[in-house]
Amino acid sequence: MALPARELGDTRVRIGCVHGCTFDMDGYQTNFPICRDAGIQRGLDYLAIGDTHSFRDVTETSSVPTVYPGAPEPTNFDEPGAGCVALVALFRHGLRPRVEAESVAFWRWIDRRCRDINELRTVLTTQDLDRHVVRLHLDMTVSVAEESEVERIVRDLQGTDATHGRAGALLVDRTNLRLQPGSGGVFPDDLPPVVKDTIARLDRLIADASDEAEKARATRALAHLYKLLQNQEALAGRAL
Amino acid sequence: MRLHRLRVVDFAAIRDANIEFGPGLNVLYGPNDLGKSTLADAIRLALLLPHTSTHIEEYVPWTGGRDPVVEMTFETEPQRIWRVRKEFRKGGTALLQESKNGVDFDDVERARKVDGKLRDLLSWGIPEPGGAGGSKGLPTSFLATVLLSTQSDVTSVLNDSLQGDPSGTGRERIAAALSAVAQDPLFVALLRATQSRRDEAYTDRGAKKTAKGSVFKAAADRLNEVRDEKETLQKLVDDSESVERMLRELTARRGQCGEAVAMAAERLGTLERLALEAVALAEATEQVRLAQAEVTRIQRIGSDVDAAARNVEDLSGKAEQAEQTLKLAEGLQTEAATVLEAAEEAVRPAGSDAAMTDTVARQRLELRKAAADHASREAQQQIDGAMGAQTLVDAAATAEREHRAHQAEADGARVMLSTATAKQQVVDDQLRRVDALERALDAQVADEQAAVAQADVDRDAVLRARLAAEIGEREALAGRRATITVPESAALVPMRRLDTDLAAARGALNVGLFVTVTPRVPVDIRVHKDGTTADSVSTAKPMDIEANTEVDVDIVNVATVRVRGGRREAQRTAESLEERWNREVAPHLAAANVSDLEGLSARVAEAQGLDLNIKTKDAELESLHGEIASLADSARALLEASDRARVCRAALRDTQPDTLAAELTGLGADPPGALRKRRQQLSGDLEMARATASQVGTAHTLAEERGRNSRSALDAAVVARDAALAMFPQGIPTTLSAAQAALSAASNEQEMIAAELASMESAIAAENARIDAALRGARATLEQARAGVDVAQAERTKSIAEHALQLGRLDALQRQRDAEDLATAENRFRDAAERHATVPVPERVVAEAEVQTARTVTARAKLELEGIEREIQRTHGALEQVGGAVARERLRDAIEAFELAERQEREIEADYEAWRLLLDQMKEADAAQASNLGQALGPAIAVRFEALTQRRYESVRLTAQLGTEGVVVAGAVRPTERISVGTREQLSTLYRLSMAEYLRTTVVLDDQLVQSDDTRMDWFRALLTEKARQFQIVVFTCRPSDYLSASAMVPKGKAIHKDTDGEFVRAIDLGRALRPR
Repeated sequence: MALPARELGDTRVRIGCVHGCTFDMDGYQTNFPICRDAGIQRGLDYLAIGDTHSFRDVTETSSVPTVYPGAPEPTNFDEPGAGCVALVALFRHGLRPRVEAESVAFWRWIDRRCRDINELRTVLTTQDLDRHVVRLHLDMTVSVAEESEVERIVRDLQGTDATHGRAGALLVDRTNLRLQPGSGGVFPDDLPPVVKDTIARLDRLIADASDEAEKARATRALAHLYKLLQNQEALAGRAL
Repeated sequence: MRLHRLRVVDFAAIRDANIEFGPGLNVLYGPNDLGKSTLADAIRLALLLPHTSTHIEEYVPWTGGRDPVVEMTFETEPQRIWRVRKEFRKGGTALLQESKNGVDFDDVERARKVDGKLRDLLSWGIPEPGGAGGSKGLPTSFLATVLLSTQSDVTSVLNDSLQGDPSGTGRERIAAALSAVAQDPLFVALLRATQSRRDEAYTDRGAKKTAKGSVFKAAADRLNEVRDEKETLQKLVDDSESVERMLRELTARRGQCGEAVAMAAERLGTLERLALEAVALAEATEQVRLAQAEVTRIQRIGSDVDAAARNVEDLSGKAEQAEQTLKLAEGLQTEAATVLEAAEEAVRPAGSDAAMTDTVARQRLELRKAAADHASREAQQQIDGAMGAQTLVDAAATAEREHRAHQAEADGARVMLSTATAKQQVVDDQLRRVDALERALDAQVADEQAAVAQADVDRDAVLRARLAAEIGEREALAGRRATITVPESAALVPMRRLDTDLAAARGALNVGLFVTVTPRVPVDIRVHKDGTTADSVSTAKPMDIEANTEVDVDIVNVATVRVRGGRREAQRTAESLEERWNREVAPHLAAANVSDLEGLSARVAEAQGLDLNIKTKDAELESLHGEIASLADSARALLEASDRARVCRAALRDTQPDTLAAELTGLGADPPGALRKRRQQLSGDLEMARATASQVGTAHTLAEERGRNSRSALDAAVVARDAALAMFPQGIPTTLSAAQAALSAASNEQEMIAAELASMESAIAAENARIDAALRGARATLEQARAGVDVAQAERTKSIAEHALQLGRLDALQRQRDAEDLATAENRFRDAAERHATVPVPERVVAEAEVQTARTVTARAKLELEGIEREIQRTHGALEQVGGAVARERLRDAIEAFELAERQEREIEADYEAWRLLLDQMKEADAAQASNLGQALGPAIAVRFEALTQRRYESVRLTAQLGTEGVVVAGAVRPTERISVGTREQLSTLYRLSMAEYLRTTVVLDDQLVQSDDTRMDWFRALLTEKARQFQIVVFTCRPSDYLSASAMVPKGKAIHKDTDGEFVRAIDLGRALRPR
């Protein structure tokens, strides 16, 4: 560092700001290495380091606080201490400043795993949902009717071209979202015969399917039909 | 849709046609081969065929001419009037315009987009042109077949259905038209939505849409994008890991090296410590020794004081003893003197005068002796002073000699220094000369390079001039070549073959003709034979005409007789060959401006020669371009070489390069090498000269110093000598001689006095023998007493002196002892001993070489460590470049994104496969449920068909896709192939009319009912007239009476059409509306 050492008798408060790493996190990259006692070596009263996003005081027992204030907004789901600024009260040279983390983030990043439709429904009850970045893992098996509700909830959370989503931002992982095979009696009875026949045909395909892919395809076709009917009924002002 | 107007130009056999349609039934009639079906085709092509399609080739006029043009105006709904104009064939144009009033048209689409818009307007189940699966020729669909019938396949409608439509728009349009009676509305909506979703992803043929804008394409693009990003980041991470691996290795090496440094430093520290300990121990030991010696010395002084005190005490005792002895001896002497006085008293009366005389003489001699002694002493002092002065003179001479020697030495050193400096100067001069030579050589080289560059520049100019000339020649050749239009040489072979064939064919016609014309009345005869024209002859006599191949005899106002040789077949062959000749060869001959194939061959050869020359020129030009390109930097090289030469000359300053030329020439074949060698040698010489000069300078300085010192000594000696000589103004030898003479005289005087004294003494002795004898005893006694006193006195003096000496020594020793501080010295000794005790004793003796070796090893290890540190820094820098952990994080994100994109792609694929499956199932269900178009349309056709056939047939069975299953006869469905041709035509026409009625659109019927009897034609005529009020019907026929009453026909005259039945029936006479070629 080009900063000269503190001269004897110099009692001015000295604050350092630097980007780098103090090697306090295993496996973290070693760019811009900084000594843990750099603050003391350079006669600082407080050293703020910018590198990682979480708030960390890496020298709690030292007379010179060496602090990562972190990013004022978290940028990912795995940044638990992010979203803070450091409030530093400096008294005089030689007296350890008081450092406190003050949360200022607007966004909260949450990771939710829903194993049934009820858990998914509770996501909607999260407070200040519009200030949340939500990652939703749909780990459930649903009927075509429930799948329709799942889609509706996801649409509510995510928003459409015409409406804002209830969540600030939404990522949906549907990897483990499975449909129960078959219509399962969710379709109304008063459908036109040709539509009923279509449903019956798809049910037969599911029953006779020799592999899971074919079964899943037919089930998904049923779900499409269910949603189409829902839309049609909605247009007609009726509920399916 | 309703047609307003059709204009056709240069379309197949039609030169031009301009037809205005009425709103209802339009009967366009004319004889066979007039072009009726061509007009029907023109309508089809105007609506469906892209203007650049090769399908138009069959409509290009056989006789050549301009490209086919079709312009058609039609109305899709009130105030939406369209005009499409297509100029077909490659390079043609297409334009679609729209108007509300049919007068003022605005451009809507051009070129390829025209067909897309038209197909969108028609909704006939034909997709937009382009894209995978699209038809390259004339597209077709069920509705196109139904509404635009062809004469060649009247019943095609019975063999077609919506099933084969490439697009669903036809079905949708029909479904919309038949919605009231077709499907359940909910199902239709579901089907439409499903179809729409399915069509987002798949083509009409069921293939995945992969073009831009398709869902699969978007997903694939996204996947490719994230894959690319992932691979890029993977590479970055690989690079990063490689750098990190290197970093780890370097860190490990740094650790090892650090250990090595630490070990070396530790060993060095140990060795240095041992060395320091040894030094400290030695110093401490020395300190102890010195302190001990000091204590011993002080103690010895004390001992000496004690000893001296004891000695003084002893000597004091001895002095007292000597005093007592002296007192005793004096007492004895006093007694002896008393005895002697008594004896002398006894003697005195006898010889007191003589004794007095002897005493006087003796005193006189004593005085003389004292004077001689004094003179001798003075002379001796003079001699000593002279000898001292002589010594100083000798010392001054010696100092002078030494000074001279040192001066000579300094002079020699100065000469040597001067020589060495001169030599150094010479070498310096030689080196400067070498510099000058090198610069001159550089200048020479730069000059040579400049000359070469100048030559290149000149050559570049020459080449450019040559290039310009060659280009001119090439253009001249190209100009000449451009004037020659000849076919490929290979084309000459079939031309020659054709020529041969044509000659053979003509030979077959050249059979020789002899015609005799025998007039019965005088006639004017004009004869043409073998292509030549003869004069008219007026004769009444027989006339013989002989020709080779043909004879034309024109008997004016009577007849023309043409006689041609050869059989009909041979003539046709010849005509065909001639036609081929005119088509294939004659244009080439005309273009080449030659009359025969030989001329053409010559022209072809000439053209080939020119082509060859042009190619040669091109090669030369390319070569010249290459050479010029290779000389592109010559100007810059010249400039650089000139600059270099200028700089070198400037560096030579005042040295004229010419003066160096001879020397440079003498440097041999490799001047730079020779100069380098000379420089190396001179550098060595210079170093040596400098070293010598340095040594000589040092020697000179030393000699100068010695000279200065000897000079100072000489000056001092001279001062001393001069001071000494000042005391001897007569000179040392004179003074010495005088002194020696005085000494000798004094010695002689002493000897004489001694002799006189001895003589006097002997006389006195003889005189005094007696006295002496008397006195001798007393005197002897006195002498003994005196001797005893003297001995005692000497002893006492000696004792006293010894005592005083020892006392002084004691005093000095005491002072010395008092001056010394034994306690301090002892304390110092104790301290030194204690320090010595505290100084660690090294485990072993360390040699300086060993320490030095350890230092070297440590320094080397540190150097290596620093190198590794620098390498680590560089690697850190590289790591920052490649990203390190950031890159890994980004790669993790990219992998996540890639997996997500893969999942999304699979999801999309599964989603759309499900939509397709749903659509298939819906269609199947639809078909199965018979909620289809056939059920809606079938009854309308069936009713009319029953009426037409007077219930011979009960019904017509149509499929859901409007395919015709057959007709129902006696409850059984019979395929339409089994009913009569006329009935099939009528059924087809009913089908077309029914469809057109539902769609409220124009139907074109091209001679559809040629096999119908009058009864059924009457029925149809009535039906057409009735339906003409609902939709437009365009009928092409060669039998207008089948469709029109006699009063509805176009009357003779210029009118093209005639409207009747309230303008709902229009008869159009194509014989007037159309101009065939």
